[in-house]
Amino acid sequence: MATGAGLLFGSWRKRLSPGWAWNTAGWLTIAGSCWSWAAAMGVEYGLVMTTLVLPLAAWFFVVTNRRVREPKAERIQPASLGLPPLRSLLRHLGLFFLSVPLAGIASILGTLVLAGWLPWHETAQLAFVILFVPVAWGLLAWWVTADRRAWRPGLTIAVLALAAGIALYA
Amino acid sequence: MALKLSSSLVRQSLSSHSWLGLMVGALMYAVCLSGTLAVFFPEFERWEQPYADEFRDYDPVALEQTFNQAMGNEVAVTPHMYLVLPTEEVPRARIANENESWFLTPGGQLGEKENNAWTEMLLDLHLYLHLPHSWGMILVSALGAILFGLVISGVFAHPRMFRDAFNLRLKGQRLLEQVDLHNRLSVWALPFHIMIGITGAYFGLALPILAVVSSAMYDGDRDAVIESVFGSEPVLEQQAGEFGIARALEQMPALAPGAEPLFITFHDAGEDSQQFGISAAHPGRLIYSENYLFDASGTFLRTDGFLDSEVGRQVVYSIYRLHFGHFFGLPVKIGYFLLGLALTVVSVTGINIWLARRKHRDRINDTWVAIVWGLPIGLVLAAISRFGWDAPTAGIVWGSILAACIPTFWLADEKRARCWLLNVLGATCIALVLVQFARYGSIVALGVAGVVNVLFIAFGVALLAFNLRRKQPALP
Repeated sequence: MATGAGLLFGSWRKRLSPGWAWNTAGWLTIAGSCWSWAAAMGVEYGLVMTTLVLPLAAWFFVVTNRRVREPKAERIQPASLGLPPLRSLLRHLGLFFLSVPLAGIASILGTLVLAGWLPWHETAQLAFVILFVPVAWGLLAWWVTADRRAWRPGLTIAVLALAAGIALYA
Repeated sequence: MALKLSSSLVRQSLSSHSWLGLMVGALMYAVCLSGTLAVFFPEFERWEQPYADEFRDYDPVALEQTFNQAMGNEVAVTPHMYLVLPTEEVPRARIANENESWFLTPGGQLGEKENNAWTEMLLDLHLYLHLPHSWGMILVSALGAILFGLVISGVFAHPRMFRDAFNLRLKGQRLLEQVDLHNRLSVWALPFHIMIGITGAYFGLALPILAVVSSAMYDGDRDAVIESVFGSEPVLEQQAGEFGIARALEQMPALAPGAEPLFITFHDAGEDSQQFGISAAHPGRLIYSENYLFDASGTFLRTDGFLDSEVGRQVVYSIYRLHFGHFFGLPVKIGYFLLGLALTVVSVTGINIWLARRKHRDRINDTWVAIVWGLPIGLVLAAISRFGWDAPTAGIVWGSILAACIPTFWLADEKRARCWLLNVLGATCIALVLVQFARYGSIVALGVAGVVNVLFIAFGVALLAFNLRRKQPALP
């Protein structure tokens, strides 16, 4: 794993050329290391160990590549704390409502409908719901807060929640 | 190597990342810091009560006699009773009902009552943010979902993610330093952070999902949903009498070769339908355990079938170990601790970046320093209170954050305030060990308690030394 991270480091920092070859070799080494762990410890442990060890190995190279600079004196103006305008407060409140409770409800209902369409055993469908709800929720929250016109994701999510609710309970 | 993303997508993702991060930053920090420490909660439990007997070998007959005798006498009977067996991770045996727990001696006799108030408070902070459990858990789970949103928005906000993956500029301009720390720690640990967010969301979302699934698909029968995943209890009659624990334990090596029995759960104790199950961990598997079910006399009935059941059940039953890193022993725990610490730093540097971008400072800067350093100080003070007066309250933790606002507001300078609070944290870590020593004596230097105390002292001394070595900013 450390060798794989080292090869990526060499190719991305342009210390090894040709970069594409070392880059490919780095990823292949990491994949091979993951495979050997899975072969030795089982697939579950092998994948988790890769997830744990790759960042630790990469951070080793990050630390060795650190550049310590002279601290810069930064002029920061003190300011008094004031409440934001009401319009801004309402906008943030609206974004919170859309990205947390509404997106949460829609992701639970929508994922349940989606799971029902999957040709899997019912416990596998339940596991899918449990694991996919936070993914769907996170994606919806991203969309709500990234779109300049929040009404677009807001309306879509509300319709999605309503349609999923009808599909489940009707 | 750079991702080719449209500038509009990058800009909007950055805006989304900032908004979501600011919304949850402080809570995420509290959950991540407590979760990072909670990886070692079994060790903290052993540290909290260093005098409890530790042993691996036990006499099943003695355990059986003590359990049957204590039930209904010293130990009040509740619908579920537990006999926790000594394991490699926690070599202590306990008898517990749903509310209390008592240690057992190596001879199998009932010992002192368990008191893990500080560790429980730490877990309560991680699981519920010290809020009422029903909605505290949902709030914490929502943070798991938002963490996933943060990861995705962060990836799309950072097209130079791979090209910069090994850059780290320290000191210099504060904004660049914080950005580099934030990005380097988050990019490499991205799969781990996604896994922690998704598995963390499970604990609190399970109940609302269960409510919706049962009402929409199981005619409101929640038990049917739970049984479909976790299995059902056998229906038994005329099982009155004492539990045949020894007989069941003696069958375990044949029933589950190589497995480590963790604990025994007794259902409907004292009633005609009473029975029990031995939960045993199987090496090389992420599922929490396989459960071996017995009737009251110790006759083996069946297993819950987690080992070889459908993938869905195995996935759900693996989430606990996957989230807390409780598998494969200490190396994995250390890995989880380091990556959890990285996520904690990512939470802090995210807010620091927003503060540095503002180009002005106000009370928000001071409050943030108080939150970041007041929380660990509060956790240590709560432990001091636990050993000094048996009173580790959540109030001490939150009160410490409020108290930390006093110096930060007075100094109105993050660097000075941080320096001051780091000294307090270092001193309280050393004080904690001294208070525990005053209470329990030299036993706190032995075993796991000794290791934890050495780490507390080393951390405290390192903080104080680090601060002394730095150029001390003058007081205003």
